[in-house]
Formats: sequence, C-alpha cells, structure tokens
Amino acid sequence: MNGWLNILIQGTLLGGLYALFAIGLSLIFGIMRLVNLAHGDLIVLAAFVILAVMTSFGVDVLTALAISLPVMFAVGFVLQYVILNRTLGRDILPPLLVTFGFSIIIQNGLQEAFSADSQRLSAGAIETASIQLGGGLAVGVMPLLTLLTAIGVIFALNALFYWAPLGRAFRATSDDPMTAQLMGIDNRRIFAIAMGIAMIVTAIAAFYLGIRANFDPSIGPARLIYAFEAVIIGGLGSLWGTLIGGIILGVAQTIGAHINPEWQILAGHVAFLVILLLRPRGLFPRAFD
Amino acid sequence: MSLLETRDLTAHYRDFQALFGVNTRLEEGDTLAVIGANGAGKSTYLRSITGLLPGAPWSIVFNGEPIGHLPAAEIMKRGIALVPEGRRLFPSLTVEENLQVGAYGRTGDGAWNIAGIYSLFPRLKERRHQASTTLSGGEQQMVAIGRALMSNPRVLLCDEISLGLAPIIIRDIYQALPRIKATGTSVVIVEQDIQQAMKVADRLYCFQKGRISLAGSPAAFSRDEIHHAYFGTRQ
Repeated sequence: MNGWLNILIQGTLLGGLYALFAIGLSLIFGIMRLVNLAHGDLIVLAAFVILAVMTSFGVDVLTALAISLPVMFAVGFVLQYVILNRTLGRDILPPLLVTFGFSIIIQNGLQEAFSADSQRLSAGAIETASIQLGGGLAVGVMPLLTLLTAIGVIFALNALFYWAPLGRAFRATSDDPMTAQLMGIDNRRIFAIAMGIAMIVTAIAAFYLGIRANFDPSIGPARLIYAFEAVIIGGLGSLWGTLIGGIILGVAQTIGAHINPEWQILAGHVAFLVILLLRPRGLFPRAFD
Repeated sequence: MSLLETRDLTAHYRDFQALFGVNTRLEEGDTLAVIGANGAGKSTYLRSITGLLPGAPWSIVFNGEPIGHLPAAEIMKRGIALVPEGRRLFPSLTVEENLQVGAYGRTGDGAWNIAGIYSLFPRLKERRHQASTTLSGGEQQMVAIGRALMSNPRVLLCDEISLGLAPIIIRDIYQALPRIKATGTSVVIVEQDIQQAMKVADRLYCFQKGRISLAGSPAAFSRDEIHHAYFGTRQ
C-alpha cells in the first residue's frame, strides 16, 4: 500500500517538472496560436546558459539562474520580434517550419559550443536532501520545490493575466488581434513580451531539469513531447489544466517505471492517448475558442 | 486647419479598388455623418483612418500631421478611437475589463473613465463583472462605445452603431451622443440608417461606389437629392 502511495507522490512531484516544461508552450499557443517546435530545445538552451554563467562567473546555480532569467527574456523577445512575428498569419505552416528549423539550429549550435557530453547543474547537498514523511515515505526537497515552483509560477501568471493591464492586453490579443490594435495594443510587441515571459518560465524549468538529471544538446525534442502531452491532457488555454496534465503524465510514467523500468516513457504516452480518446479537448478546455 | 482630413484617399484590397480619391474634412468639435449603401466604401474609409488599412502618409492628415501610413495602435495613441462594426467585444474579458482595455494605449486627459462610462450607460454598472457575451446587443453596443471613449479620443469613429438593434435601443444609444460631444470630442458616424445620422450631424458625406456623391450640411439637401446620392438613381 505504501508502495503505491509512494509512486503517487513521486509521480506528482515529477509532474511539477513536466508542468514547468509545458507552461511556456501553453502560454505561447494561447496568446498567439504559435506552436513552438523548438520549445524543448529552448529548455536545453536555457540549461546551458545557466551552466555557462556558473562556469564563467564562478557563481552558484541559484545566482546563475537569476542572471539567466533576463537573458532568456531577451532571447525570447528578440526571437519573436525579429523572426517569429513574420511567420504568424492565417497559415499555420510557416511558424511550424521555422521553429522546426530553430530546433535543429539550437541542437547543432549547442553541440558545437558545448560538445555532446552530458552535463549537470550542481546544487550541492540540497540535491539529495529529503524530508521523511513517516511510514517509510520520503520526498526529495528538490522535487518538492519543483512542484511548488510550478504552482507558484501559475499563480503569478494568472495574477498577471487577471490583474495587470498587460495581462488584459494578452487576453484581448488572444481573442481578437485586429480589434486589439484598435485599443493601442501593438501586437508584435505584445507577442514578443509573451515569448520573453515564456522563456523566463523555460529557464526555471531548465534549472530544475539540470539539477534533477543529466542533459545534453539532443534531449530537447523529448521534453517538447512531454510538454505537448501535458498541455493537451490539461486542455488548451488552462494553466491549471496544464499542471494536472503534467501530474497525470508524471504519475503514469512512475507507475510504468515501477512495473518495468523500460515502460516509463511508454506508460506516459499511453496515458496521453487514452485521455485523448476519452476527452479529445482535454480535461479542462477553455469554454470557447 | 481641420482636425482630421482625408486628401484624395484611395484604398485597395488586392486588385479591387474600394476608394477613388475621397476628400473629407472634420472640424474640431463637429459631428460628421457618412452615409451610403452597402459596399459604398464607408467601412473602408474607417479602416483607412484607423490604420487597419495603411496607405500613403499624406492621404490622411490628423492635427496637421500625416498619419496615413501609421499602424493602428499608433493612430489610436494619437487620439482616434473606433467603435467597430459588429461591436467586436473581447469575449474572454468581463464588461469592466473590456472598458479598461480601451485605455491600454492611451488614457488622454479628458473626462472619461470607468465611473464616467457607468454614468453615461448606468445599465453597464450592474453587469460590470459579467462576460461581455452574456449582454444584449444594445448593452454590448454601449460597452463598445464606452471602450472607445476610455481613451478620451479627440475623434470618435462609430461604424454602424445602430446595426441589428431595435429602434428603441437605437434611440437610447443616440441619446448618449450629445454628452459625448459636450466633452469636446469630434464624432464621425457611419450609418446606413440615414434618419439617425442626419439628426445629429453638422456635416454630411454620402458615399457611392467608392466616391463621394454628396457633401454639405444635412439641412441643405432635399430628400430626392439624398436619395439620388445614396442609390445613384434619378426618380
């Protein structure tokens, strides 16, 4: 019995990481209907940025994250303003092709700069610290922080969307980009800010990814798939749904791994397919679209 | 100097030319009515002014400056707000948020704010936290007008604000116009409903097939002259 409870807890905590992967993707799709195929590689890019800051300035990982956040915001802003804005339009194919191309460019660029070796972000003793829950159950401090951060990020984004003028501009632009311009909203700037915010979340995701496991330039696409699955399970347009989607994915993977270590990834995909069959619009779809 | 002028304004949708050299003038504080049949070019005229359809810089002059080439958001910030045809409220925003977003690019220094809009249209206050989609057509039109006023524009453009509404509601909405004009705002009313537009206008333009077929004071024209300018037929 404890064994299953443990699986549920560990899976939920893992779901926090997948939610962090997915939030940026969900945000971008929700605001500008852009499917960013380079999202996974941008997570890996952020992890390497944090690593590079650590090694070149000799700072600890948290300081490196703090420095990387504005850097990644700038990367997202420029990427959107200079390139991706030009691909948006009635046809959904150009952004897919361009972001697919970016995926390849980022992977190869990272390999050129950092080699194909596996890397890690070291956080010291906290990496292995855990909290005893009694009854032989324990939760790792880092996985717990991951989930709490995901929840915190969603709270912060929802506060932005529902309380700040910028958030209203995001929602208005998402509803009707043409009419939004008549409110003095410069769509291209709004989209660039949205991508910048998505890249901040991406850097946070990269921070937890790099501390939890090894990463190398080639692992981006798999993170993209987890992110996609979390978004679609949760239902497009709902960040809380995305968190639930991430948790379902995490729990399914943990159960799969428990039965047979080779089934971890497969179990996640199966759970995704089952939910897609039963609820094609996801668990918490937006009321209108 | 006129506040807003179009000079030989032309507009195209790909190969199709919608406006053929349109000259109009709006003086500070005046109300201008633009009438015409479907497809006469009235909406294109407004799309050009608001920057949704950019053109030559000097084809539109606002406050002495060329604005014909500017993007929509920039033109709004200079003080030209549009109440779009079909209202185009933001469905995921509440009534109050729809009003607030109207002041995103510009708040101006005029009298209009949330409280001012609620006093102009008291019914909106009761519905402030409702989704804009749950409102009746007339109430939605009030939100759309309020949203445009939130930026305290120097020029308010109204595209077919009576479309699809019951006559009694249309009367309610037009009753708000004197109060809007009293704040010094210049107004352009585009209508198919000639009666309403003529009552409030200081100056009238009739569009026909992308050209102006009649221009002047509404009182100066006979029913037949307007009929001819509107339909392009002689009785």
